[in-house]
Amino acid sequence: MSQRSDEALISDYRSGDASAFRELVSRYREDLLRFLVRLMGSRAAAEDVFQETFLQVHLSAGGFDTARRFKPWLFTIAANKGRDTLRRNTRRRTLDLSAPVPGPGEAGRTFIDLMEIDVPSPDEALDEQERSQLVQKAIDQMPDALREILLLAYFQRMSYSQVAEVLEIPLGTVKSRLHAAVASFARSWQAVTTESRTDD
Amino acid sequence: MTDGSTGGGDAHRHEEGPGLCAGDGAALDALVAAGFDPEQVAPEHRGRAERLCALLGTLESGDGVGADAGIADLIMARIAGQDQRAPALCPDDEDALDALVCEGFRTGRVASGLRKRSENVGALLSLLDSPVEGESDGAGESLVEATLARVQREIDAEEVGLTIEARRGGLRRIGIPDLVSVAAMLLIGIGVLWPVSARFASERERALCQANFQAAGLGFGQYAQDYRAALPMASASPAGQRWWEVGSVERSNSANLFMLVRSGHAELDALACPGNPHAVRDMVGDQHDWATLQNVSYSYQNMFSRERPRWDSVMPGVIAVDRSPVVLRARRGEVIRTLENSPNHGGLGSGRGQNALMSDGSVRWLPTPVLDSGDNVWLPRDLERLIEGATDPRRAAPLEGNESPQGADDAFVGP
Repeated sequence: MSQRSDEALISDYRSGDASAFRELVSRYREDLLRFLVRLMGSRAAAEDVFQETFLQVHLSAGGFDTARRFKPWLFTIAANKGRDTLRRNTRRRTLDLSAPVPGPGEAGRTFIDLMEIDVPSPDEALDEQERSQLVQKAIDQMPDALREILLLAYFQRMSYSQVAEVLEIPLGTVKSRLHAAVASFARSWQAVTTESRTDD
Repeated sequence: MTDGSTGGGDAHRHEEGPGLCAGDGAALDALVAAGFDPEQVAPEHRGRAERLCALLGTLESGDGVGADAGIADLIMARIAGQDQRAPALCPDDEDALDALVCEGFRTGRVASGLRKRSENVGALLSLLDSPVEGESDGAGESLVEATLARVQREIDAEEVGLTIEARRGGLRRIGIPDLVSVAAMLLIGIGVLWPVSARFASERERALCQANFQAAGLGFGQYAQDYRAALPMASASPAGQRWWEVGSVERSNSANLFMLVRSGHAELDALACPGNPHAVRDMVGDQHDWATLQNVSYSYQNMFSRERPRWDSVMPGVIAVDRSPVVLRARRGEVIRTLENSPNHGGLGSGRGQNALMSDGSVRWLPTPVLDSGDNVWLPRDLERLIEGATDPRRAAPLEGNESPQGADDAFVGP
């Protein structure tokens, strides 16, 4: 028996099939939770947003256009809920002025060449828990907007146009932001791994 | 650029722009207090204060920030400006990333010229696939259950809300409890209001009836003046017919009463009791009598006797009374009840009393058909005596419609 599509499940749920909703929650518990943990920075906050997301799915199921894909809709809801939570819990970043201050003549912008970044290959033996913590640390250091677009695009394997449609921003903006997001993540990853080696 | 802090999580998140760390904040306060002279700042803050001065010095070169802005805003704007110097991918990596996105993050599909870099970008991004905290400990199932429970609570709350909303609105199904409540309220209302309402209706009917008798009394007085104190009479004898045969040509006693109307001394309406549902109020052609016994509202003193009462009698006698229940029952062949009140005020079998027009023009309310003299207005005197001596007065000697009063002072009305 073939598996029902996400869109069929949400349609069935609207028709009163409660098991369809359970199937949807189960189907996305790993992908969506991982996305949210990366976005929120903590498991507890991610679980709370996960529940809020499916609560919103329940509330908005009647208005969902089953001709469209369910997954981008779900992740957009999750991103919006996560953003709201982060905004409520916002803390202003502290900055140590001991950091180098560029002189008046410096251009300031730095370019990242990923060929120069120490990116572990998939085969490289690395403690899974340690890697996960370093990844989270690197993501946490990214600006919110860049972190969100990076996670949305990567976890859904979305194209630029799809991201533009979901976030309702121009295609060019999506492109430049994703470039910046990957660069930011690369630099953060470099920083946290360097720091980790130093600590060792 | 680095923000220099090492903690993870929300401590790094910012939506409103960065703030100063505690050390720099204290140094800035000290610097402001010292008139922006770092030499005057306490040694523990001096190093940071000197750096703050260096930073503020860069603002003097002019970078679009207004010179009159507050110092804190100037610093924040300058620090926020550092975000503009966020790192960017080199052009080759941008191309590789674009190609990777276009191919759905599948490096194998990327053109060979960009594949090496796209693999590198893919490797970096695959870090995001690292399992997150608690992902492999089976907590996912409990999250599913917790999520479903939360949604169910929302559904329950919606249903409660709908119920409350429905109860506030008018469009809802009426249940048995509602009907019982309404019925109880109606019963209470009826229980309280019905006796009051019924009592007012009864009192109103009794008053209207009394007014009728008063109007009729005026007519009787006029008639008496016109006919030497005589009372209206259509025929001196029933001519072999029963005096309760209403509608027969001037042979019933009701026809004698009707003469008051025919002679123009009273309106038919004045002889229609509001307590009689069959009363008629309008004349039909050359009418000599009511059409049926039920149409007659008032029982007139039986005029078929040798000695008839007069309007100017010394001892006021009864002229007319609310219709007789005894005649009604006797006419139907039912057992008569000699002490039964007129059905005009309470119905047959449950009358509360009757009005009576006396020969002096007065109207009395008789709670029983028996006058102070002991005379029962429903029966002739001889029949009353017969009944008094009977073993069962209720069944003794019913009226037959041919009885007559035993004298001018014998009150006996009919029909």
